[in-house]
Amino acid sequence: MAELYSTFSRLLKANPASTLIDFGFVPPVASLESQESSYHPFLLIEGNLGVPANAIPPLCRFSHSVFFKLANQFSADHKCLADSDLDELDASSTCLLLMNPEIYTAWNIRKKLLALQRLNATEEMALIDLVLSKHPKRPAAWSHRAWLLPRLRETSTNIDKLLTHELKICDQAAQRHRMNYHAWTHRWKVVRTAPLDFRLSAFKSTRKYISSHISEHSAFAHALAVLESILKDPDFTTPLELFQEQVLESMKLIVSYPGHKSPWCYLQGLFLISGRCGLSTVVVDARVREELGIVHSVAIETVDGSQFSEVDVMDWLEALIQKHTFDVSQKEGGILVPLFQFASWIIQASKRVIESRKGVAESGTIWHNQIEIALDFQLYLLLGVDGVDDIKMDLKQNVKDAGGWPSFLLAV
Amino acid sequence: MTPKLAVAKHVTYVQELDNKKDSFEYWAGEHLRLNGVYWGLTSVHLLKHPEALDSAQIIEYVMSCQHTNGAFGGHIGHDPHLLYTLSAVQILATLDALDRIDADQIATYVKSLQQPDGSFSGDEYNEIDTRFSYCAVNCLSLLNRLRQPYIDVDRAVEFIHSCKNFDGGYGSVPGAESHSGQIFCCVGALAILGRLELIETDRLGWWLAERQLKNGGLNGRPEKLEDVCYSWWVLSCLSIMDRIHWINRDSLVDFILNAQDTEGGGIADRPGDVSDVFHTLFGVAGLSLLGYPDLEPVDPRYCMPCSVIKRLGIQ
Ligand SMILES: [Zn+2]
Repeated sequence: MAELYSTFSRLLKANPASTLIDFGFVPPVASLESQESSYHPFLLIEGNLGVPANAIPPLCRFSHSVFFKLANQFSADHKCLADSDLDELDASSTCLLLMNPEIYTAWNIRKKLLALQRLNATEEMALIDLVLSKHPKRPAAWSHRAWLLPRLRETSTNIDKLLTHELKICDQAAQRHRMNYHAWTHRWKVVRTAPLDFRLSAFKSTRKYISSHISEHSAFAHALAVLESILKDPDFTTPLELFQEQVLESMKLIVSYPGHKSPWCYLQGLFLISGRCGLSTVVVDARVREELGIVHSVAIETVDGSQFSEVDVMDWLEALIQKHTFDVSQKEGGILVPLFQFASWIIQASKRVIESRKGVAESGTIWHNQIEIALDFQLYLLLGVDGVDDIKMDLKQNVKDAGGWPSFLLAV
Repeated sequence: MTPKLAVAKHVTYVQELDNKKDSFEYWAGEHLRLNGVYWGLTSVHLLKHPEALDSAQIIEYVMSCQHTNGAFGGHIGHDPHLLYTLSAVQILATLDALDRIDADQIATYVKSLQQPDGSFSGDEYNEIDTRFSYCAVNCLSLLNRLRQPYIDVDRAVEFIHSCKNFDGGYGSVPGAESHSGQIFCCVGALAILGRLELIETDRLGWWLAERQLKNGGLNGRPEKLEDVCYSWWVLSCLSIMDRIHWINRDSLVDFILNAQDTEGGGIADRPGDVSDVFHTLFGVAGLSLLGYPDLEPVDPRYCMPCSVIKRLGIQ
């Protein structure tokens, strides 16, 4: 065990985290026997470090005993430790945390070593990068990162580069584990206090991420938070345009990827934050009542056989939105949001997209999901709106007629 | 066919956790052992088998995790943290052993973690999270120290309220994505503090009810898989807000029961997976909230037996 640990420490001393790209566990090897001339049984190929699965338990147990023995002495009085002991504390905690980043006491000792300037902050960030490459959602590693970042910021000469690196690490962690709450929250902590330009570019990159990760609700929620901070920024000059563009974009996503919940949540969110951003009032007017029932009738209408290409449908949808919504709204000094029209258009457009993909086995389920989410969306937006009891009742009847709906839709 | 709740198997499962000391998995979970003890102890209490574990032994173990500042670490030799301090206080409260600790000292420690904006850091290193607001509020409530000169309750409420999102849910910090675990922490803390009027009940209830999937299980966020622990995080909030009837009770009960290991005992995150003590507690607690027969009633704010909360004189 001691030899395994010392080989691993020797490897990391010669190849510190800042020279490594990726860390991971690899299949077990026949012999864990160390060889002086190499790093066997560890793999090091072009900056990729691999630990064989059968080396993990002995490595953990040995580094654990080294670490906790020294850590207890250190906590009692750090001055009683020799320089070599402090180096050992660094090596053993590094080894331990690469195997199990949840041992928060080991991160804490490293914080103390950083304060004593026994460790270098930039190199420490590289170690966290390496740990996250294997363990992208371990909260203690993210917590250590959040603690370290402001310290690096204080001494950094290139804040933009520092923050851009944070976004890169968050994106990688998000790619490695979908719906990674810690990665998206860290990204938000980095972005929310950044200058407007940085937030705008972070928003752009998140939108790009969304376009290839349609079920990543975390990314949509993050985009919405960043968008709100941009819309509320007094230095941002075109909030209405950006808002309209986002409404349109989310509707296009809903139509292009029918049956997915995330883009609907985003559209819902746009309506709900618009008031807080001083952009619109949600108006339920007479025309809404005329539109009532469209979703229902589309749902039961038989396929008429007409074929549309996806592009046609998008153009049609875009023209419809431009014509009916924003022209009207600007005259009235705010964005008029005829709730039911939105959902109805989306459903009509979706139907054509789904028809154009006829032959796809799941199209029936997709269609059912899309209708279900649309009804849910409509009812949801009426929450807390006065004077629409009759509309709610009608919608609930639709829900009931369709059968098999969640009980809360009928309870509200 | 859905099996019945395998009470005896689960009790044995929890009893035997400690006999696995030599296994690497058990050993590797050392840093949160104190949480594990809370999960196991609360499980057997809710299963109406409080005699299954040795109280004196547990109390000695808990005390061995305490530091000189009154706070607790996750295990002997691990640093103090609010997460483990709450578990320690919950365990001691359940075992009627709060006289073993100095409540004023712990309340002073908790106070030292409150930030000017009312939020709480988990330890001295300033990580802010609404989970820690919950830990602080729950812990001080159990210790009957939810008042001056300890924490600033109004500020604590203000911070939690600032984490409310447009969808009615709550995240870990202001603006972070709504997450059922964080929502439980915020709603639970507001319930303990008697400030439920700050919650958008219908909007949040809707969001929570939407967590139920076709197979009856609940997920923690949109587009996630169902998971037994969310039976607790989601259900406890719906219960606090009196909206438990918004989800389908029978299909959720079936989902939890199908996630049991009816041979080896314990409950897994979902049917077919390996059981663990964390999901065992939250599965059993969820069943208790759903009114499953012959279980001890659970308090949705504290995730502890109602009888314990009553004994402490908490309303
Ligand atoms: Zn779970």
